Amino acid sequence: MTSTRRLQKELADLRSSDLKSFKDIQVDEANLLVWNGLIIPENPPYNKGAFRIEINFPAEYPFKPPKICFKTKIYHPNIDEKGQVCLPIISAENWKPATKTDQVIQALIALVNDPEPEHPLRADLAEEFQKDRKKFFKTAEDFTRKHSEKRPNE
Amino acid sequence: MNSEDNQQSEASETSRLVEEPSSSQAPSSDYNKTSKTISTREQTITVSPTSSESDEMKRAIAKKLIERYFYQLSDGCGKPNCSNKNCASSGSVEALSPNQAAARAIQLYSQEAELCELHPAKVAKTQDCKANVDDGSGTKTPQSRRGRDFPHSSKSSQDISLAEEQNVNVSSIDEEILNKLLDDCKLTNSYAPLIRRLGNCFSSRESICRSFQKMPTAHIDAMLEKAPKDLKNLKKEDFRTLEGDLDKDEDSSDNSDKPSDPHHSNVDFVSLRRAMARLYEENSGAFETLNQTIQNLATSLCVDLIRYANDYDLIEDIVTVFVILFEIIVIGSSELMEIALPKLLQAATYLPVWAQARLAAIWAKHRASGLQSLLQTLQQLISVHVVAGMGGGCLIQDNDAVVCATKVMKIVYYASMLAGTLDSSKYREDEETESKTTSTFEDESLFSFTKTVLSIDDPLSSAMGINVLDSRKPFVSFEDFYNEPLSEAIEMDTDYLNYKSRKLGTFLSVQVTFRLCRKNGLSPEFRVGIMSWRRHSKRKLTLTCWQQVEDSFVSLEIIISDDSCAVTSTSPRLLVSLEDLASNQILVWKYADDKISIFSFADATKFSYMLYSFILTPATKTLALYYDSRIRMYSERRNNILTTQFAGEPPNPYLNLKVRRDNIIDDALVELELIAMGNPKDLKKQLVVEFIGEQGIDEGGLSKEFFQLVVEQIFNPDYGMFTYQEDTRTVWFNSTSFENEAQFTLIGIVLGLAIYNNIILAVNFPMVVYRKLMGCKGSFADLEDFNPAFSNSLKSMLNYQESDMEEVFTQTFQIMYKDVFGNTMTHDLKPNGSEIFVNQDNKQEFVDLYTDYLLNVSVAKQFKAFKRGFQMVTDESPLHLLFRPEEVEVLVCGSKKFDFDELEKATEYEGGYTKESRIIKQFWEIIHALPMDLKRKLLEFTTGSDRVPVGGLSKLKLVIARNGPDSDRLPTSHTCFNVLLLPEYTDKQKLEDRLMKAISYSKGFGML
Repeated sequence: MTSTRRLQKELADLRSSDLKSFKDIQVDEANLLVWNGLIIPENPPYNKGAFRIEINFPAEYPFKPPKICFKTKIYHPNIDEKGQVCLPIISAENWKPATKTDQVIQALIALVNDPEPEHPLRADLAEEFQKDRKKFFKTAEDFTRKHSEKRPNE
Repeated sequence: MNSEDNQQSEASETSRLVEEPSSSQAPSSDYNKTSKTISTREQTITVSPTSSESDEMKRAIAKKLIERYFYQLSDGCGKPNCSNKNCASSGSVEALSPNQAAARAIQLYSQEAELCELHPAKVAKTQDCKANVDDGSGTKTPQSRRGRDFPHSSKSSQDISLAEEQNVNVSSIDEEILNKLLDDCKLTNSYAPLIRRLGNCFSSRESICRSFQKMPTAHIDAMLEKAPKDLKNLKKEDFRTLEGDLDKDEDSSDNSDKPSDPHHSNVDFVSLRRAMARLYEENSGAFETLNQTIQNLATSLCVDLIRYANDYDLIEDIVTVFVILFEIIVIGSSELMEIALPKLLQAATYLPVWAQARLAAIWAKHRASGLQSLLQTLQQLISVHVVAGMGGGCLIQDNDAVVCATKVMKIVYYASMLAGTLDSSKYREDEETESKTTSTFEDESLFSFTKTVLSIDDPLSSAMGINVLDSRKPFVSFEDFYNEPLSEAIEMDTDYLNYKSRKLGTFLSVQVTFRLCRKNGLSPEFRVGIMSWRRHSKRKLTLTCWQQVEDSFVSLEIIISDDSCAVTSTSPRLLVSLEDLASNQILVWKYADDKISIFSFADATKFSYMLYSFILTPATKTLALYYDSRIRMYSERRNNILTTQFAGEPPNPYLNLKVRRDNIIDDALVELELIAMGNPKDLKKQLVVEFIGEQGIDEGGLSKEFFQLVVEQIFNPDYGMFTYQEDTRTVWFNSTSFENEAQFTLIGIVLGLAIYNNIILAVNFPMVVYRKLMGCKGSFADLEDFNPAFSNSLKSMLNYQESDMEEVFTQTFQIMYKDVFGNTMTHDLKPNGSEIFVNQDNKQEFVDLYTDYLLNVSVAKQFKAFKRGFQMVTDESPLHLLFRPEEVEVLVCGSKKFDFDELEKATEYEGGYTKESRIIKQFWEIIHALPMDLKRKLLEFTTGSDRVPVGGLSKLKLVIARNGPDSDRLPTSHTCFNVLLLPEYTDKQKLEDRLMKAISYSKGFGML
């Protein structure tokens, strides 16, 4: 499995860099193409919990972009009920093989912290986010408390 | 300036010397007078520029000065040991290319550097220079400076040049002369001298091909066009960019443009175009003269081309003449369209293939931007003649003007491809071309009528070494070559027959035409037929023919070498050479000891547009393919009946497939496999499908449904033969398929049968499949369409310039992929690939290997089988000749535009309905309001396929027929004839309800 060298290297780099917002990285050494980890947002209303994501790398990585999926339910205009997320950096049109997973995760965390209602996956949430921010925050916070995982070391 | 004038009058004096003894006609002496007035006039003009033109004049003066610097740099002032270090005579100027010299001259001008006085002792210097010319140092004589240099005159160079030079100086013109004449004529308000001069020049090929020659100063011209306005304040970088820019410029004669290059031309296009544009604007009536003159000239060119077909130098000159004349045609197309152009086009068709290739190469290199207007001119001519000829009972194939224009358009077509983006021909499959060339001369049996010779490579294509398949993006789009009026008017069945008769003629019916060359012209024709022939090796064969002139057999030995074809004959008085044996386009025989010449042109056989398919729209080409497959089907049927009568077996003129609806794939594959192994020829019979247990009789409709069902299942990823690429919505060969090769062969057969039987399939292959079917290999450019994400990634990798590439990408020459079960597999792109990292030095290699792996290597086995199947059906059809890969896709899948308004317009009504009937109006209201998927279902219901045919929905010829008065029955259809049977329901609601029911449960064939 020498061609997973890149993934091995990226994984090692990511683990050693010890990100504050991305922890508990779990990878089955027999299948480096699937990674698991916990997103730990800083901004309200998501800073009350942690969210598990799965990163799926295609066999042709890095010539095709990875896919990201939320395993934890989240009330967010840019993430749909199935956990799919639309992240420009890993879209087929924008993908660059030199992009590191580290950068992808940073972009994801930024999106979770600051939703972009202009490009929503869930139009209803985006509308609520724009028109009634208070209500949105309250629902999202309740939702986070109810569904999200515990934040480690807190 | 003075010296220029001196030379001008010198020229006219010498010309008088020649002209007077030979022909003392009035015009020539007139001409001499006028040329003298020119010299004086010109001086007055330069002395007193009008204020409005002062800017231009300033620039002109600057140019003169720059030219002087230029000559000073290249030739020197002529003073021995000149003290000016920027003068060649000082000996301290290094050898400069014309471009460098021009840039340096502009620089010197801006610095107001020292300029030597023109040395009076010009004569001595000229002689010096002549010596220089001989040792090829690139320094030019004053004559050459004035554009009187004749690069192709090697045949006559041994003559003492006096007579020749005088001859040449008679009437060649260039921009300078033309401008002078124009200015002059304007002042006197009489254009007679100009017209006479033009008439003189354009009536002889010798003088035209020496006109508008590139002078060294052309470099200055081109540079000045790019240079900033203020020449005095140029910076160092400016000079460098000037010099560099020019090297890329299409009109510049950069260093790569050597006489040996196929695109080399000495014509100064910039100046020619400028001069002719001015001439045209002046509206002097000059173009009327040109019209007549060019027409006459073209006639004599025809004769020259026929008589001196093997005189390389002469034809080279004629190519130059064509280059110049077509330039003029484009500028004055409206004036010249009717008289000069058709004749000129006709003359151009007599150019030997290599000369056509030359012309295409010159156009591609020097006037690519003008190809579009040349094409438009040709299209206009064709359209006019097609429309004018309509109803006259004259076939388009016999309309000379159209035929010649089409032939010239082919040259433009190749020029456009050459000027556009081309793939390297290495992406064409070698085995393919190999088998083609060998098949041409394989053995004698090829020339029996039972087996046809297939290879019809265009001779121009092989002469230029480019192929339509190589063209990624032609300079002028392929669509612009379609001529609609012609495609509409053409009778494809006639054209197809012409094509067939030509094809059978590959030798047996070739007539060799003899003509005796006498002093007073050509004798009547004698024709001989080729009696037999023998092939000794790949490159040598002997023909035996009956030769009426001497009433005896003659054997001709033909030896083909790389660039020519030599013919020797047993009769010493006959035959020297033969061209283009393979294509049989033209057989040109030179005469020996001025007795006999033989030539036979393809014109002797009927012209077929199928060999010029670029001009036909895809819809028309489809018709040609239709005739081809029908004729083949009938001939298979006839053969079958004939043979079975003797063999005593029951005749079976059809390709019968009996399948069970619930087991369609296996049944079809078993049946087709039997046929493919036993007698592949049966595949060319008309297909008749029978669904076991159903009463439908196949008149086309059942075949359509059969294909639809087969394709639906086979391309289903669950079936395992093809994979579905989610992101591009295309299917691709499953490289890890368990199916054996035979299965893929059968898919190929199905695809071929669909084309052969004129059926549209719902398959969505990426374009590269069609390119590969037509004989290319997948290349990087195909990746874009195959998978954009992949293509972008690899491009981005290629563009990555940092030295930390190994670190960032950590990519080795081992790549991974997933098999059908989701297991990850690895593949080494080269031996030991997992240990070789991709870095700046080998990234291109990686991308090439990866691309090759994705598109070719990984599916090689499957694709080869698939292609073999495809070829079993299409090998003899003109598919390759007529269609580009893009068009084959349209042929297979139909065009992707659903225009139901178009369909409504083309629909016909029967049984009492008209387009005004209440129910018909309601019907269309309902249809137009339907969502797309239901519209497709309606198409499928009425025509058996939900694809759009080539040419759009209007080509469906939908018929809606009344099926009795109101009833509870559902609408029905005859898919074979695209007929929808509609009872006259009482109201719109009921109509909609019944219609929806019918199209939603349409699978299956039966009577309700």
